[in-house]
Amino acid sequence: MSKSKIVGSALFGLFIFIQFIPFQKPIVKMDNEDDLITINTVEQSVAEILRVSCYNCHSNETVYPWYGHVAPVSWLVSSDIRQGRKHLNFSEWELFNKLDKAKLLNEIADEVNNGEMPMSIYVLMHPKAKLSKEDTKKIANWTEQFGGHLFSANTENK
Amino acid sequence: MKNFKLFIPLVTLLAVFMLSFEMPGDGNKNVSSSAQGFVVPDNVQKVIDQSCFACHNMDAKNDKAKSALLFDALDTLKVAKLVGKLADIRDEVKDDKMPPAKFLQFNPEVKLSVAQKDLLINWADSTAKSYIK
Repeated sequence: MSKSKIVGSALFGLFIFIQFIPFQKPIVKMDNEDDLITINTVEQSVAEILRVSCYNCHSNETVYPWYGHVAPVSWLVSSDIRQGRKHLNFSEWELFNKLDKAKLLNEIADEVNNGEMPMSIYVLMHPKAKLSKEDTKKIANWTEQFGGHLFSANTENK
Repeated sequence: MKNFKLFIPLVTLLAVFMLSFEMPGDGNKNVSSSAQGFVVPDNVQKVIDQSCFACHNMDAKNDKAKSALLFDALDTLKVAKLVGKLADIRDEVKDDKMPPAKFLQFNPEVKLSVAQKDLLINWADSTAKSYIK
């Protein structure tokens, strides 16, 4: 066989081999009793943005694309989902205490305002997830409004 | 009018008299959703001035620090945002993330003592909790 054929076969063999390396893919759970949108009244258009632009990495309701099952891309996808859920998991929203919710709401606003979220690599593969200026404003405003329900400026109970 | 000369001073006196009373709603901070009247106790402010303010104020040069937290703007924040910032302060101090180790290398005198850490943590935590509905 020619050199290139040998190398090609080896690479192909490696590619097949890595598909069988066992690793833990983040689980998918569609029904979550502590989910933000399930428990609270979140305005329809905001909920829609959250689902489309955030929920794949920041909830248990992940929908894996076909390439999410193919190594080595699957490793990257799984890592992103794991990290995303670690920082913020909307499916477990009600488990957070109020102070942590306040922190998260601040972070959500900051991350969408500075363009860090959703991740650009994600938007590349999911163009519908891109946040327009209006979407970003909507999310930021929602974090303020939602936070306002949790706290009162009246501190007479001090 | 015969008594006109007395009229203006009397009205002025009455106005001053009425204004000296606290009007209803003055003590109620719930007029808007911003944390008006947010005040930091002196002993806490002292620690903040020593170990935090240099980077976390509006005139500082450190953009990252400024975008994360401004101590001189806390009283302009909406309540929910303020609570989140207070919780951040609590956690960053608790985890020894702030002041940053690199900064302390060159400014060891601003390192927080255990007592100062406890003071900041307890103040941030209890103040944040005081706003919970």
